Amino acid sequence: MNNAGRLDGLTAKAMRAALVGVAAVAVLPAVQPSSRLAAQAPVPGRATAITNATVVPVVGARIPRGTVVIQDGRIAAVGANVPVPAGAEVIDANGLFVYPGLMDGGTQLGLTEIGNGADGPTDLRELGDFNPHDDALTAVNPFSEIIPTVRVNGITTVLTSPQGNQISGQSALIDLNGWTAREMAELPRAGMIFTYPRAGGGGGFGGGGGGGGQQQTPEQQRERVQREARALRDYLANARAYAEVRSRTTDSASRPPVNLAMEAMIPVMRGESPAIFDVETADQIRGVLSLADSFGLKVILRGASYAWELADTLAARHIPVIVGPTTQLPAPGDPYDMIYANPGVLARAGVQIAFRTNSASDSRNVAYNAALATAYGLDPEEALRALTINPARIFGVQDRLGSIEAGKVANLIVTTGDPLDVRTTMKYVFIRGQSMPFDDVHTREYERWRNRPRPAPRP
Amino acid sequence: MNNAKRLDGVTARSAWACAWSIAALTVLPAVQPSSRVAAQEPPAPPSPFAMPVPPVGRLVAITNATIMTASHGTIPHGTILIRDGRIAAVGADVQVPAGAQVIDATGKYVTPGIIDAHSHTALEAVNEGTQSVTAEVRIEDALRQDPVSLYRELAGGVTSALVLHGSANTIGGQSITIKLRYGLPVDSLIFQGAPPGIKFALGENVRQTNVNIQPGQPRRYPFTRMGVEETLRDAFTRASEYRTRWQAYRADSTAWTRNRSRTRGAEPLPPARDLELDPLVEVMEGRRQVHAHSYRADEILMLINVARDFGFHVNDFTHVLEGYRVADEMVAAGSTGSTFADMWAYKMEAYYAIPHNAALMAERGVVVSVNSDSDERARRLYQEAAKAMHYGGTPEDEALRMITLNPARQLGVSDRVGSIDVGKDADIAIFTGHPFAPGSRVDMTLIDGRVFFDRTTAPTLEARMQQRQPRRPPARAASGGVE
Amino acid sequence: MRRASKRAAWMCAALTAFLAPPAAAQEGTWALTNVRIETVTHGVIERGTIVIRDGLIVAVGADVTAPADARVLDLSGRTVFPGLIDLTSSLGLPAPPTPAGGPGGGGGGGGAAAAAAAANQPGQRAYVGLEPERLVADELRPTAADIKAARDLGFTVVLSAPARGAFRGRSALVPLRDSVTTREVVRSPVALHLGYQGIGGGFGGGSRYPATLLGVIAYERQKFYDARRQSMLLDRYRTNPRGTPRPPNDEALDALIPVVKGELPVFFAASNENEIRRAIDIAHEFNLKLTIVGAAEGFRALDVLQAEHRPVIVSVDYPRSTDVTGWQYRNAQRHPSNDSAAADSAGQRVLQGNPAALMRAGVRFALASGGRAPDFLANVRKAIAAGLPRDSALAAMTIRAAEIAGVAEQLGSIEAGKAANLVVSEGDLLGDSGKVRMVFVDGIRYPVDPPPAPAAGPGGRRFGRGGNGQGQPGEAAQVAGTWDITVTTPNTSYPSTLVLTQNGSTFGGTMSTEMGSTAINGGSIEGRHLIWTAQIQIQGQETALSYSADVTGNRITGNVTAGEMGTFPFTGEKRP
Repeated sequence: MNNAGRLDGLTAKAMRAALVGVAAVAVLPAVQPSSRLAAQAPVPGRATAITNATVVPVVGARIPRGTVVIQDGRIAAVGANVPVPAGAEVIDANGLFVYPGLMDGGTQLGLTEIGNGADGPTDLRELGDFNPHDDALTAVNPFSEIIPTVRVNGITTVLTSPQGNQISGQSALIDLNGWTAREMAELPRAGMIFTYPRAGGGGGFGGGGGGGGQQQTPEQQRERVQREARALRDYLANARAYAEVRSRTTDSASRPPVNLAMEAMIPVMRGESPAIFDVETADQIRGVLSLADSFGLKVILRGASYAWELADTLAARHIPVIVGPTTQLPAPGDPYDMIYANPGVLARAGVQIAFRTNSASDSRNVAYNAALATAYGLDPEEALRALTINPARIFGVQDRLGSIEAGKVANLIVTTGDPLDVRTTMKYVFIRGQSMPFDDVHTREYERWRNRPRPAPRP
Repeated sequence: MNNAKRLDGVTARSAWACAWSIAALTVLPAVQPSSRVAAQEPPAPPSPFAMPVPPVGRLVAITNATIMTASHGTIPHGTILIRDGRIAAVGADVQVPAGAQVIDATGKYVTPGIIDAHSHTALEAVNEGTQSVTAEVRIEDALRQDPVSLYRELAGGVTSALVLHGSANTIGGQSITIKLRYGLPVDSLIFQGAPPGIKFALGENVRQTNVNIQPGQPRRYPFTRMGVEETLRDAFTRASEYRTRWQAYRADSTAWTRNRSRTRGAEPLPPARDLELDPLVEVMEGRRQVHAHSYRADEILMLINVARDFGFHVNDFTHVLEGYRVADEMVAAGSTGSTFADMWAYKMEAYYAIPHNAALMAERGVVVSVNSDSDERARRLYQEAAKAMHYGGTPEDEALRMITLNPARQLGVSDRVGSIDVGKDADIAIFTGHPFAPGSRVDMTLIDGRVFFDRTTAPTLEARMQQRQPRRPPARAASGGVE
Repeated sequence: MRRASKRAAWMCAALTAFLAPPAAAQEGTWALTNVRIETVTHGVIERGTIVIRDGLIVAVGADVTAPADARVLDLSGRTVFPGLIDLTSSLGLPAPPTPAGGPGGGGGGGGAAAAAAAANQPGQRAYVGLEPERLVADELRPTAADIKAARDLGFTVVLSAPARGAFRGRSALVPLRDSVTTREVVRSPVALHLGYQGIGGGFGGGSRYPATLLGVIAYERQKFYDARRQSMLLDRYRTNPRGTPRPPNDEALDALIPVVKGELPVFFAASNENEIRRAIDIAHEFNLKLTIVGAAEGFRALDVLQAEHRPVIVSVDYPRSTDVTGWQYRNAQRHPSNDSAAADSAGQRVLQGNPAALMRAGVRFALASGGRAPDFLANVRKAIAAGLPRDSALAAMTIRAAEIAGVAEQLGSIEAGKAANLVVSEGDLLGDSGKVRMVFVDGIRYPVDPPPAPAAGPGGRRFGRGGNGQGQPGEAAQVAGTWDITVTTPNTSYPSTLVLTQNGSTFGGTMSTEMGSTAINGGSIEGRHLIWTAQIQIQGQETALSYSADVTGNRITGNVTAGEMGTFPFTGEKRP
């Protein structure tokens, strides 16, 4: 927003020093790039070594005093006795921790800037009920001011999704850095976003059905839900038929006329691309499972506040659940801690869980969403997995993301402690090996106004 | 409402409520014999409408606790003694008298009950949005004592809240400070002795620029921040004149009463009572606190100026998302700030909200609280307060004060609540661990020494699941689903 | 001007009524002989005579002989009661447009629009509920059918007032004669009627002040202050017209003056505990002569109702348990997950025990229908079953109501000199099998037809509510046969088939679904209201289903509570 702020190097540097505090002051000189303001493209071939850190690789045991070597955007080595390559930039992380970058399994990052009163930069909800050929990545603004504010909290990768209607479009798994949306993409098409129809007015959840207004009577809502469920099933039946015809007809002569929406559904119908269903109630989940049975969909559930009712079924069927946000109220008759406790119940039953905030600006709080769940029964180690390796597995990028293992993409965070702990601060955030600047609209404003002189009378 | 009645409301009504719950148990079966069939039926179940009142904590001791007092640091291994609802002793060496009800808090953290300085909880109506100035409406007219939200806030350690009108109007109406004495009759929610307040609002909500206006529906004045100022100045100008009229009348009336002569003329006519202007006169006379919903620096300064011109000050700017830009002016005007921890970008005027706001305002000398404005967020204010440490490095003690002692000071009740000190009300939250640590939750909440929330008897998901099925199969290790 | 045209319209209506073909009503001098007489005020005469002349009871007693000019009705085996009085009626008033928001506000501002729309319809007024000056007697236009429907239930006089609004207007006590005009009105105005409903609309604006509970209370208080001042100004002006500025004419404030002077009572519609307490606070602030109307949660406010020493008009239109203060508290507590049905029925017992609780607390009250006249007697029977002494119930429907309406000298009991408003029943009117057979209003005899089928459509019946709308009171609907019903959940619907066998007011049978067949337990019929339970397996769990339904002809509608899963509606039809 404010270019002057961005260019003001000295100010930002001073600000960062203030933020980092005493412990890290000693560290700074060793690592201080020429400027922390813009992401510095790493020098090809030059390594960065984070040493003396408690490394929490998530997959495998903690390394109490370990080294992580980053080279060419990847983790080159990790371990207790890893040598620091010659010429490497060294970060002495004594007393600090290294974790994989955190992931948010459902955001609108890049697709919206301001919730209300400024619709211009918002590209969330296309018109029409079925928009499978809409790609979130198309509309992701890499320079959204929200993105850096999320990144500085250690979130390096998010699933950003269009919203609303019955089939909202394709979500994209993006790293939170890049000059273009394409550069940011880990998966340009990470999964098709569905909203399973739901009667409105249950617990005030955001994920409701496709266009159920509060004005509808229960009778009307019921009719709408039935109508929409039928329409969705019909749509999938058409998509399956289309996919079958397309797989039989390879040459353009015998092929039926191209239908872009149906084309977009082919990988979903073949079970190659996940079908991500936003649901809340057990009834909705049953509806989704029934669709999965009928059409062989690879289903991921999101939201799913009532998934605990079907935890064993979901575990047995290996259906992953991206829970959240946990910052919701349960419906009046529900257990007071239902939303907080649901993730723990699912995890203990063997369901693979991840977290989402279902927000852009609140994405920075995804770890604190998980923290609430740990207070109500979710194992803290599992919570950490649910923010790292689980979502990587759910989206099929576990070979690239989600843990600190040699060969994986160097999405890493260096912290003062447990990332679930609000008191913890980030010291470094690496995305694809690049150290991200701690510079965003908030830190800039903070720095500027912190230095506001005391008001003086007019001369 | 009648004040005399209210003062003894807690005891009289609660006694009555007790009587009723007993009546519900005993009287109903006695009534049944009029029907012969009913007489043979088992006794009637208790009334589902009964709201049993927790027993009064005459003598309660919370022992072996890590006590975060909010006023004088943390006592690592201490005891709090509660007598007749007040804190009688606190410290490491407090002796537990015989006969005390002992709450063993070994391994637990005890904090003052959390105070939410911006809430709309327990209300049947929030906005009288038909006019931009509705100073005459009173939030206490719409309070309700039984909503689930009160319980859930207790489960998050909240014991007091400032209940405000919404922000549809420039002057929304008269607020009320409550204690979350859940289950007691509605008058007992009211925090006796708390100063009266009034809600003002500025910016987008008042302008209604984010409201969908139906075709043909007229827009409501004001539509700009300029108009908001004008609306305020108009209201206070009318209130000043109204006050002058009453002052003149009182003088005339006194003179007329004193004058016993036959020529003293007609008895002076009192001005018409105006319920809209009465509270504004109280504001100008310093008898009613102004709580001002605000976002941008410009509108905060505007209200500071308007208030100065009419001889009052704004008690607290609430939301105050750009407070960090005008903290010095706020301090100079004697105003405090109550903000969100990190909410932003949800509308244009929240675009320059920064999560460092609380820390920065505090650094500049503003008394800062972190509030919820939401029945949901109220349940995790302790996590929200910790964000002042995360952003801007607020010390732990001060972060805790932002949800305890500071809101108490803002609401004018710090002599009663907000810290764990001898003589204060025993409003207390007991956490399983450090309140800012990720795995901590509230296990027990007390108000006036009474236990209003106890996790061991709470309607948890675990309890619900145990009811549903005898026992789940043994837990399996997490395994990959889609791989 | 407005009033004059209103009067003209009204005369016209009256004229039409006179020109209408004569009903089966019969005036004249009557002697009801050999009848059991429940005088209410002077005990029961097991076998006596009542003489009626010129619309009045002229003699009543065991030894009274029929005068020569009287038409003698031998009513052996019948009982005669004072005519019932319903103080919660809107008879003869146009149905108000329903504002969008309830007392809690919130709606989208449809209220004002609806009112405006109503104003454009001929004969409809722009009803907004801010009209203390409204005089019901001036605009009363009941249809003969409405009157007859109420009378056939045993009512002889009703108090008519608008059912919504803040300042609703001033009520009229209307005798249920076929042709009713202002000439026949027993008393007007009886009271100023108040309530908590605003005009609707919330945050979005666009509607008129006051829209919500918040605004309504402030508005009412301001108006009472204004009325006090108006009263003072008028007094000064009258005492000393020279040199005193003439106060403005204000119809609304003028109508409030007798109210703030404590001359005209206030009937304040207040159903739940807090509404009652708020009304009492307002009454105290202005020294109003207050009568609470509704008081469904009176049992929760006994302390203030006792302290008031003012009579209460208690509605027997019991609310749903889930709407009662305290239910949400219950929701917040740990309790067995499948006890909702049991708690609901325990709640109903408490609610039905409300009149008994008031009685025990020494609060004087009348019973009233709450606007649902067809269910009145059935609901009163529930209050009696819940502990209200039968004789107290009878008094509360007659003499207590007359006292509250200020007409105890004319109505409410069978005494010489009182209006000949009588109900002749077969069996005890308050017993399970009592039937209204004949009604006298102002000495005019009206035969009673079997009650008509209840009107269908919105505003009719609510789910899960008891009462007899169809058939004679206490007479069970015929349900034996095969029914196809469909239960609808938010995502799907479940068909099932019921095969029912009936034995009087109980029934049993089987229910078949695609998951199998199960027995129907505990089936009972009250009028056309049915309840039963069944057990089925859902997700491998034994789940109790609790049904509650109403039968109309061969249609059934109701809801089913499936343990903690929730409550779902169903509809169905009987196979021919």
